[in-house]
Amino acid sequence: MSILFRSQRTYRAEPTRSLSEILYCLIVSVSVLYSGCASIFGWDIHAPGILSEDFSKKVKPIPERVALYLPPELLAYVSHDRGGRTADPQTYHVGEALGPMLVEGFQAGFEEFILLETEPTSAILKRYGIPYLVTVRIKNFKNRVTWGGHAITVATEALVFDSDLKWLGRFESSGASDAEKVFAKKGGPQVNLNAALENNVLAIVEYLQDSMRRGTWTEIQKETGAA
Amino acid sequence: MKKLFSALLQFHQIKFLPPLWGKVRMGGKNIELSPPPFRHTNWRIRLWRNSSPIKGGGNNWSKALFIFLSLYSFFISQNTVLYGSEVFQDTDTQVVVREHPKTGKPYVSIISHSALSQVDPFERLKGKMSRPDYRMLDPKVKSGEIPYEGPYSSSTKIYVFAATLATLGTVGGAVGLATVPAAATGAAASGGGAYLAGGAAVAGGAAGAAALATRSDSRQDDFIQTSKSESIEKLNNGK
Repeated sequence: MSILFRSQRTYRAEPTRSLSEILYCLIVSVSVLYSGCASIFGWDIHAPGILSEDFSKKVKPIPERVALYLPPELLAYVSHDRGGRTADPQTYHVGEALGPMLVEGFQAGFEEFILLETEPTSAILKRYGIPYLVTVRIKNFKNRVTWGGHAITVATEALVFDSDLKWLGRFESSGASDAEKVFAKKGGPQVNLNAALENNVLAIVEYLQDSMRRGTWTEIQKETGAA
Repeated sequence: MKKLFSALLQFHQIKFLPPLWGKVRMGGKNIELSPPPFRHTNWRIRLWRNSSPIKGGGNNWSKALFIFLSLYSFFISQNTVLYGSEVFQDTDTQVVVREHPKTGKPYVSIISHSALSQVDPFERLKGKMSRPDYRMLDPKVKSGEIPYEGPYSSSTKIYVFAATLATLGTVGGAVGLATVPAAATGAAASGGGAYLAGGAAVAGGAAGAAALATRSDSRQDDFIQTSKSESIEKLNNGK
């Protein structure tokens, strides 16, 4: 009887193994599509957003009351410039760092600094006795990644108004930072971006201080060279 | 003197004069006078008829109006005394003191009364940190020699992704071409041994191709100026 009834062993395929692979591929694909290549396969660069000690050595406050208005598009400015055709994807959160740095720069440059968080009007400026209103916008962001170095240039445009919201002056500022072996260092690209932004803030504040001291807004050209 | 005058005026108003604003009944008619909050605001007098018939005819009404206008013209010149501090237009704003998100240094901020604007625009950026030292950008300075506590990004995830694809049988060389293979190699060392093989293969394969494609031009790499401001009028005149 034992010969007639062979033991049967049922071989059952395990669908969970192929299913897990499919599920894994699906999760990876969805995460790549959702977050984008730069998030997973690139550099997400957030600068420290704080000025260095050198700034306070170069800039001394002057006894003026100045209001600063930062448009929402400045604070939200992000650049995806890779700096080269073969470079890794990079995301630079420029406005996120430039906003606080402008506030800090104006705090250091003017004794009576006011941040306008609402759209400026002549009534507001007159009510609070504000003789100068400055608004800044980012004009351009350039990135260049090469074999040896990493260069960032930030260009901004600043408009100056009086208490009647009449235009006093308009000037363009640029700040740049060029360094080598940046990506090999922890925080290298972040600090490089911070340096470019700080140079831009320095140019803006020094230009404003010179213009206020002299009382003219069109004949001054401020240029500071690299060490 | 100002307080004495206003007290006398109030006494005179209560006893002899109709009030300068509010509801006034004159000549059998109800008159509502809106207060003059600011010097440049026009008076608005709204007049409506009472439900009861007007008594006394128009003579009483005209007399009352004449007295009122003469007294009004007298008191309107005293506006600078009565409303000396309210010469500015209401701007619906308020002054708050905020702290810088990175340094904690306080500054004055003007916000509007609406609830949305009362949120600090730099709320999500708060977090004190040490100031950066730009000496770390010197190529002679190695990573870690100058302490840095700020945000940083790592390319380790690139090799995680490469290893992930490798386990599924995808060609790892298609991950990407690193333009700075020296940096990629440095980052691979921090990625951990499990991914080193895949990461190094990617970096090594990409290095040769990238070296030929992106050879830097020494003429373009020199930056002389780092900070510049120029008047736009001058730029336009120079063109």
